[in-house]
Amino acid sequence: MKDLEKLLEGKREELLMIEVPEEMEDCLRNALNKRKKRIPKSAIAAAFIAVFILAYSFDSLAYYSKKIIGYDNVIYGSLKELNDEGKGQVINKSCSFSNGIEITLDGIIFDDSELVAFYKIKSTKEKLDFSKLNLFLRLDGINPMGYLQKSGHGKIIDDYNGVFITSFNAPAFYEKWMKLNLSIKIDNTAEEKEISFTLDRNKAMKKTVEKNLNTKVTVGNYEVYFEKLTASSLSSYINGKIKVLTGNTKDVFEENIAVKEAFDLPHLEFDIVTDKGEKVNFTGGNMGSSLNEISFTKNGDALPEEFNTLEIKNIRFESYKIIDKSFDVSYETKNLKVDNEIIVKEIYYDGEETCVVVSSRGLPIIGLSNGEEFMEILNFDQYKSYPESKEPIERTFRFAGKAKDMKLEFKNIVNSISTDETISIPVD
Amino acid sequence: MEVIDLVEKAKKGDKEALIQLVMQKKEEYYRLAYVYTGNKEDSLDALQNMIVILFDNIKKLRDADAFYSWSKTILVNECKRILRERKKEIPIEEKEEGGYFENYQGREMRQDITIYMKRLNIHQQEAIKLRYFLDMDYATIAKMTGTSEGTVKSRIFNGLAKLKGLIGGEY
Repeated sequence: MKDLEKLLEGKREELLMIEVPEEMEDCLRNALNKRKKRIPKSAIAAAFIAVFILAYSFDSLAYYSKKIIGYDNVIYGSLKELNDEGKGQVINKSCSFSNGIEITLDGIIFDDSELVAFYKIKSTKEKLDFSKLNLFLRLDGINPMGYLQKSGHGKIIDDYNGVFITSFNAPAFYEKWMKLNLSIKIDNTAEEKEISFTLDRNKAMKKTVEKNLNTKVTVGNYEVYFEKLTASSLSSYINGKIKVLTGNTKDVFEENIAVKEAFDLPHLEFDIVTDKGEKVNFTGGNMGSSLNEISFTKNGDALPEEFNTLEIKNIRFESYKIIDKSFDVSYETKNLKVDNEIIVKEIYYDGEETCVVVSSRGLPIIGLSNGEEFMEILNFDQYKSYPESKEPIERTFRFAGKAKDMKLEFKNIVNSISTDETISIPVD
Repeated sequence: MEVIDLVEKAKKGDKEALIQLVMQKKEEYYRLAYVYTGNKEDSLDALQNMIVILFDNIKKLRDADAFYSWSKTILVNECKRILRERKKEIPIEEKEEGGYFENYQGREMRQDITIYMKRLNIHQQEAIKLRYFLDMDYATIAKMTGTSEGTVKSRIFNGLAKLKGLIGGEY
């Protein structure tokens, strides 16, 4: 135990080395000066009544348009477009738990890759700490294995209400009568409820592309095998495997973890681009291990509507290194050394914009503030898919606005290894 | 200037007095926020939220001597709120990737205690961090986390025992 305490003591010493940021006092002062006056309780009550009335209007709207209502701030991209067009299947069924939590399955949108469930959580008794709510969801049908939850996110509206979406692996073609199983741990016992619904296959998003890719590319020390692309008007989904060429896959990843922070692990990135230059917006994905292979999936919005050809490009492994440094700068700043790899070559004005020229191999993630707020970066996308170069190169980041005294913050640097190889996806 | 005088001034709406109170112990405040949030931006956000809450509520503070423990409790609550907010924003996909990598922990990582601390429950982590990283006594931790000294001791005891088990070997 003494050694354990030594390790803890070591962490304490590390913490003591952390310096208080110079701007702390200014931050406190700004916060006090910008503090908003309190809103009278009567105004809150009036706003609440307004929301209440609106919510009732929305319900009737939902009945006519079949749009799943109340999720506008939770869904984006093609999912939002489809829902706006009323292409989801409205379910509107609820279940209640003994602790007063009520869950309503408002609707679903599905295709051959995934089923997205829209649900609301409401506490009818006490304030709800959503971070402690141990809710587990599973979708069941005829398939005895059920359909596992893949991903999800949501928004907590207040201490009693939240809206969420979650996606499951798509129900098999033979499924019709489904059950959403919901389990919450209450007093160390799992309480289970279910909501039954019938899949309306007419509502399923039709497949637009399904292609076996079966193509390998080599990126640095990794071999990436792209297996299959499936896409509908709801989503795109691509999967494959990663192998390490020299050495054991598991060992290489262990080594990576041993020498670096978790934040710094390499992860696979690539773009799917049409002949018109449009890219698929990836929204998620994950990696899993099996013996000597690592499997990956990436999922994103629907493919763009019009294209003749599709290509997988900019295949790369990216890793992040934390920099976390900030500097007082002006338009006269030249050759500012951030670390051994990164140099701010110069800062200059161009019209109403401020240009920051940074020399580095990897892509730096930077922010520039004018003393009050961060200035908008105008051309980050230009470098986003740009692979790391062998020698340092200069990137010019353009920010909207000008200020005499500015603060330049370096958050991370993205290092990547990439290949020039592209994969053509045949489209019928 | 004495704490009591500054508190009295702050109660009358003197913002600079309140800033001075906090800045007199800036290291303690910043490190407390950093222990919870783990980064500069969130720490400063929590501190900014804290000072606004302090300003709005300092009139209710009866005992000026209690200013520091009162304000630090508010800071801890703000840090927790920020962490909850951030948790809301993290898509589940990212968590899954983290989970995957956790399965591949190398032996060398045993030296990095913070990685193992993430396996403890949130209360145990909190108690151990406050006790060992910030050198707080049991009574202060109990006050700050709204629990009893006995509970704090048991969280630390159980947390350390679990850590020992996780690290294994000579630890």
